Amino acid sequence: MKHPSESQLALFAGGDVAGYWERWLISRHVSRCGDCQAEVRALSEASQQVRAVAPDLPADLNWTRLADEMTGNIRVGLAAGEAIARFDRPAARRPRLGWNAALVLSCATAVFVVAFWMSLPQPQAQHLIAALQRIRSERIGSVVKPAAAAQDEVVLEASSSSIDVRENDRTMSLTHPRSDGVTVSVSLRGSAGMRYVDADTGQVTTNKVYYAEP
Amino acid sequence: MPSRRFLSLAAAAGLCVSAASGAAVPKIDLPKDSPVVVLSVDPGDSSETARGGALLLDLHAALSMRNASQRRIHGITLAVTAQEITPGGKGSVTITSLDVGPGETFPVRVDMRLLRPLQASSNVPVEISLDGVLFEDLSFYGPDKLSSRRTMTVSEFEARRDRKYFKSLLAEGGAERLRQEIVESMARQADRPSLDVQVVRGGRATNLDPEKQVQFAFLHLPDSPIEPMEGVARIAGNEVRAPRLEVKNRSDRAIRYLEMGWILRDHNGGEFLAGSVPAELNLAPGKRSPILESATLKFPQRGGQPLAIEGMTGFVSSVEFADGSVWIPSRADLSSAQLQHVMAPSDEEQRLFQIYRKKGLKALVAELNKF
Amino acid sequence: MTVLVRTAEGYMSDLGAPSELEASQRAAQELQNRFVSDNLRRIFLLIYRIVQNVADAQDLTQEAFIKALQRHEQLKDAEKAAHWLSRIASNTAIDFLRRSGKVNFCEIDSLVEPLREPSESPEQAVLRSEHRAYLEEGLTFLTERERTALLLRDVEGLGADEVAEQMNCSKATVRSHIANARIKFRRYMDRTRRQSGRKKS
Repeated sequence: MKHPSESQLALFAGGDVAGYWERWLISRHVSRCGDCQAEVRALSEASQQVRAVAPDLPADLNWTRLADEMTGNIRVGLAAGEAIARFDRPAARRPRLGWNAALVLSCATAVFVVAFWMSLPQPQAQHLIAALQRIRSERIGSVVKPAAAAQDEVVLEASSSSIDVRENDRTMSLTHPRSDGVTVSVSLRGSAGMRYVDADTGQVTTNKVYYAEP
Repeated sequence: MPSRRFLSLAAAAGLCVSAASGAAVPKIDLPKDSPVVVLSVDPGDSSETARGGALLLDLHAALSMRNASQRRIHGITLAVTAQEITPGGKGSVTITSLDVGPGETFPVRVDMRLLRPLQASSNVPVEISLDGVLFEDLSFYGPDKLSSRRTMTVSEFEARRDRKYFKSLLAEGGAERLRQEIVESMARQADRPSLDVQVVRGGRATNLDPEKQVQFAFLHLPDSPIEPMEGVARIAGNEVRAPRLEVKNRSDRAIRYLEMGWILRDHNGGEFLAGSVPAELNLAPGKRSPILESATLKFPQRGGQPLAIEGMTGFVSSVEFADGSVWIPSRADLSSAQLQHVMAPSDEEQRLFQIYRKKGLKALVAELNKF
Repeated sequence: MTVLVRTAEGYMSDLGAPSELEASQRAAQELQNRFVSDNLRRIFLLIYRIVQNVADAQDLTQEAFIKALQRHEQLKDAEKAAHWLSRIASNTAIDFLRRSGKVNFCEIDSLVEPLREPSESPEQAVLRSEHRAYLEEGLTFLTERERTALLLRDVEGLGADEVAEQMNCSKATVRSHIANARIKFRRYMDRTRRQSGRKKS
């Protein structure tokens, strides 16, 4: 009697044999062959064991914490995705790789800006950036190798003459007072303001620059 | 261990730089039922320039607006948006201490520099939208995304407090008494130490000075609905990290927002108002709540001796109740030696100083008598 | 003192009273939150079993949910949404392995490769956690493509046709992966049993 191959029995054990005729032949053989029955039983048991272990979490994993992190990141990612969508332009109009990379980078930046306010530690934010980069490149439809985010710090500085953004040792000055008597204020939640009395209008004007959603 | 925040616009190096030129003419977006309308926009010498990995939008626009409502306008906040993703892309202009009657026109200047990622289209104009208008009766119109209702309401309360105070001086001691107070106040402002301050994301340790945990001292204002109970922050040299405070609502109304002023004392005994710690809460009467911040404040050296921080004092600078009303310190509270020395004058006081400086005492008296 | 708020749409409300818009936004948010909490563990494990790395599995799980939730109109039917999410998740994991360049899902592995020695026998794995570790180790003997095919077929319950579609291979190739995976796992279990039998005797 010719036995089915090991592969055929493995497929038979899970109901995966293709073709009605082949399935019938194997079934008929197995019903009459003790060795093949044992083999099918062992193979079924293997599948059952895989099913049994599949719902178990890896050892030493703090699931509660991981779930909280992922839930938070998902929320952040959706918010960042909405912000990015406003900059989305059809890929056809922007064939340059640079545009895609910059958008990916903007995406990364958005994540950090938003992530900060959820107090995500940096490794988690990087997880989220990795995810968003992939989503972004899929939407654009091109293979993008995003530039690695440099390890730079963004510093917001408020002084009597300007509000500065400093990163990469470059400083960009963001406001120009038009009068004297400037009062500077900083809010730890992400804005810096300069108040002055406008020399022309006599109005008390406060200019603020924001670094996160207020 | 403090975590680091890493962020780079310059990693877009190697990209093609789009030719950025032309005036950045803003696009004004007001809803149909807006209480203000824009009569004209003059972009002035607004421009955009590529700088490294970003576009720097230099705005110097002059708007002429009209009060199209039936009520007097006391404050307006416009949101100015170049982009909402990277830092420095969004700003606002708030004008308080206004008094614009129905049908009257008033100017608004937008003098601001904002940033945009380099490859964003230079054809997309900067958007100016209305965040809020505060009326004389303290009613408000607008989406209030920048919390301008709260900011302008606090400013309006301060304005009313200060005008009442100056008018009482005028009534008690005449114009000369008023002049004396204004001059002293202006002198205090001139002497007020101005401190350059940096807010750093993530609390990264940038100096090697040993870190110590320091308790907050608190200025207790008797009428304040919030009582600060305790607070700590970590201090290392010229950096203050991660303040943690606990406060109690001692009023009979629920509180939804408060702002704590933060005074720092250096090793020479000099005191500075460093910044504010805002907190959105939902604090029922009698309840306590923590306030936590993960930012770091840094005080860079600008000539002279480096700053070393020795102590901190907190005080409640404003409270917003759940029903939208606000509490601010009284003039009596502000007359404490410590606060008088560090607090900047209110918007209205600043405006009155300017009137006195430019037009003299008579003009100041006339201005106060309008209210 | 009550301060009235007027929104840009001209809607007047007292502070604190939710508008219809706010209520519907809250309902949508709750639906989203429930979708995530109901499916998070299952999807994480599916992806983790494929990529065998917690950090990568975290990234990819987040990515899968973000992709799924961006098309929130699909969430209305919970069962369909869960099934559709599984597809997104396995696609995401497969794409990840494919992009890593290390895995070609359409090559078939040889069954003759020698199996390394298991570190533990089933009899030694008395506690549930140890037993699980032993079974998990068995999965590491499979190649990425065998493991992916096996998980999608035997754990997720997808038909062989669907697995082929997800892995972007022919049905015949996928059947080979499934068969090899079951055989290897069975051999792993046999060997560890034989080993423990020898140790006892």
